[in-house]
This record gives sequence, structure tokens and C-alpha cells, in this order.
Amino acid sequence: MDTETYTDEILTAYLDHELDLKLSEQIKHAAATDAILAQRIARLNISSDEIGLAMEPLLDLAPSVPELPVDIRAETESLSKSWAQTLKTAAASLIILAVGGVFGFALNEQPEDGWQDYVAAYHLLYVSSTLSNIETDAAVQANELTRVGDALAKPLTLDTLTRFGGLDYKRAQILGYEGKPIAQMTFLSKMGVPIALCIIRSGPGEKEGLLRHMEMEGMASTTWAKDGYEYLLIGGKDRNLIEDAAAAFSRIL
Amino acid sequence: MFFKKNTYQEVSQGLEKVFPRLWRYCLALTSNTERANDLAQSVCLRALEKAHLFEPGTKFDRWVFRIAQRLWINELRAEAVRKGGGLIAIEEIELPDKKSNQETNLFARQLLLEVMQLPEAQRTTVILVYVEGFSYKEAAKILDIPIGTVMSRLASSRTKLAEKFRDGMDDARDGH
Repeated sequence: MDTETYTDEILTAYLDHELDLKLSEQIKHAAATDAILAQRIARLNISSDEIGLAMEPLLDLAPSVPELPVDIRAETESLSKSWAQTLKTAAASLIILAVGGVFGFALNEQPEDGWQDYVAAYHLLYVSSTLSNIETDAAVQANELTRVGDALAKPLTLDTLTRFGGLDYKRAQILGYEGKPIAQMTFLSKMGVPIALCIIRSGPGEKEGLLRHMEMEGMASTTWAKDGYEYLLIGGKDRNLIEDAAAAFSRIL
Repeated sequence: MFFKKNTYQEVSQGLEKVFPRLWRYCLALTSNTERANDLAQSVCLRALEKAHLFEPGTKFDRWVFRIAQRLWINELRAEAVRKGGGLIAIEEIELPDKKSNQETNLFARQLLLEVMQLPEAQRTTVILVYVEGFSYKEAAKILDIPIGTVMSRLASSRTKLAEKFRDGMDDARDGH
């Protein structure tokens, strides 16, 4: 092999013992008689061991391990329901969730179900075409978000909701549950799957912190609480998308 | 429910062991101690959230470094750039002076500074391969790039570092 054909990348791999034995031996022998090749190897030669040692002091600068949350699995119950229960909840959701700014119903017929269950059941009725033809004028969307944010006493901006690249923001609307407003922001994934982000003021004693991933009504969903609000992101089957989007929203909202 | 395996405890314990190395990698990614703190903490939370996806028997450090890489590149770096504020020069970091041989420290410190001043892509690759000891294949997986790109980044890094220290290495090491 012509030694000039050994690229710097190959010679680097030679120095890093990443080449197979045959090629490594070829280079070793060639370098013994080829001064130019030997010079090229020397030009790349710096001890990786010394680099490793030089970086060791940084380990001493690391802060203490942050307090890690305990396993929340024991607290997380499966929220899957039978189809009959789903229909029942969906029907109740349609009654309870007053779309378009009217809220204030105080139905307590199913105290065992929280607002997230109703939202999940409601979201189950969304299909791609529910959102695909919505006008997405930025000024309209911004006004809509201001209105919805005001209802929740939480500023919501287009910039925040469009920051996660995997979802196309569509619209915001106010739903209601037991007299409390729910901000519902809807998106379409790149695959055209409807996704909803819902926010409600926290009840007392709501634990804040870790994101909880679960399946609700057969859809991937993540819930979390932060700064006095509870959040639910739900839709589709792509749990990685929901988890990544929830992680992004949980930081920026 | 998505939790299929009881890996939460394993991930939690793994994070405690790997944390100083994870933080160092976060520093290499961010070039800023405060951002490294934030990133390392976010990585811990993300790892716990995704604990059910960790496969026991596979390399934990590789898994968690990949989370750090993805978190920084896909979500936090753009935010850090938008917030601005600049980077804290690595020279300002006070390194602990544990070793008694000051001459060795001088060389090591110069080498550390040169590594940290490499462009981000080269710096992180150098850390993964030469400091953390990952193979090219493992580093490529963590960085989500082809092995050829790992090789070219290392070749460029070696060229720069060797050039810096070609004449001065022995002097620096000898303390002259």
C-alpha cells in the first residue's frame, strides 16, 4: 500500500489502536522505513494517557450529586380503562369540558376520575382533520394564547409553544373542570397525530417535580406539576415524542 | 404503564457513581460551570424519567452520556445561545492543586486548557475517547455521528494539540 494513502484519520486510528492488526502492522513496518510517514505520525502524536490525566482535576470540581427523586412508580397507578369506561368518561367529558371559554360546571358524578382522565377521554375524539385545517395565522394564535393565558393567570406565548420542533402548534382554547379553567393547546406531530398540552391550576398538596409517563386511554402521556400548575401532555402512541416534548415544555413553561 | 423493568434503582445508583464524570462531560459540552451544573442535573432527571428504557447489562455511562449529548444538542444549547451572556473562560476555573509536583501540574494545566479550547465537536470527542476511554464506535453512538467523523475530529484535535506541545511539551513537563 502506498504510504501516502494513509490519511490522517487512519494514522490517528493507528495511534489509538483502533485499526485491525493487519493494517496496524503494515503502518508500523512502513513507518520504520518511510521517514515522511514517520514524520506524519509524529505530527499527530500526543499521549492520550496524558490528556486523560490532565482532565482528572475537573472531577474534583464537580458539585455533589443532586438529590434524586424517589421511585414514583408506586404512586403511579395504571389509568387504562375498558372501552365501556372510556366511552362513559368521554361522554362525561363532553358535558364537563365546556369548549370555547365557558367553564364553571361543577359536576362531581365521578369523583374517582381527575381532570386528566376527562381530558384524556376528550382528546381520544381528536383526529388529524380536527386540527389540520385550522387557520394558523401567528397574530391570531398570539391573541388566542393571551386570552387563554389570562384565564389561567399564566402567560402563554407563541414562542414558547413553538420551541419544541417535533410538534406544529395549532390552537389554544379554554376548557373547564369543576369550576377551574383548563388551558388546552393542541398540536399536530410531524406524522399528523393530534397532541394536546393541558394546564390547570394545582390543587393543594400537589407534588411538584418528576415527570410521570403513563398510558391514558391507549395514548402516550406525561404529567407533571410546576410552580402552582399541573400539566398533561397526551396524544398518539409515540412515547418518545411525548416524553421529549414534555421534558422540553416542563423546562420552558 | 410503560415501566417494564425495575431499573429505576439501578439508574439512580448508577447516576451517583458516574456523576463527577458526567459533570465533566457536561462542562466539555457547555464550556461553562453553571450550565454544566444545570445540564448534569437535567440529565439525572431525564435518566430517571427514562429509567424504564435502560437495558441492564449494557454500559450505563455510555447511556447517560448519550442522554447528556442529546439533551444539550437538541434542547438546551439553543436556549443557552438565545439567552446569551457569553461563556466563562475556562482559564478562570480554579483547579484543585492536589499533586505536589507543580511542574507536572503546569504541563497538565496547559494541556487541559488546550483541550477545553478546542471547538466543541472536537473537544467532546476527545473527552469521550481519550479521557473516558470509549471506543470510536461507542463515541460515535453517543455523539450520533459516523465513525469516520469521530476519526476526523480526533485527527484534527491531535494535530492541534501536538502542534501546541511539539516544542513546548518537554519544556512544559520539565517546568521550564
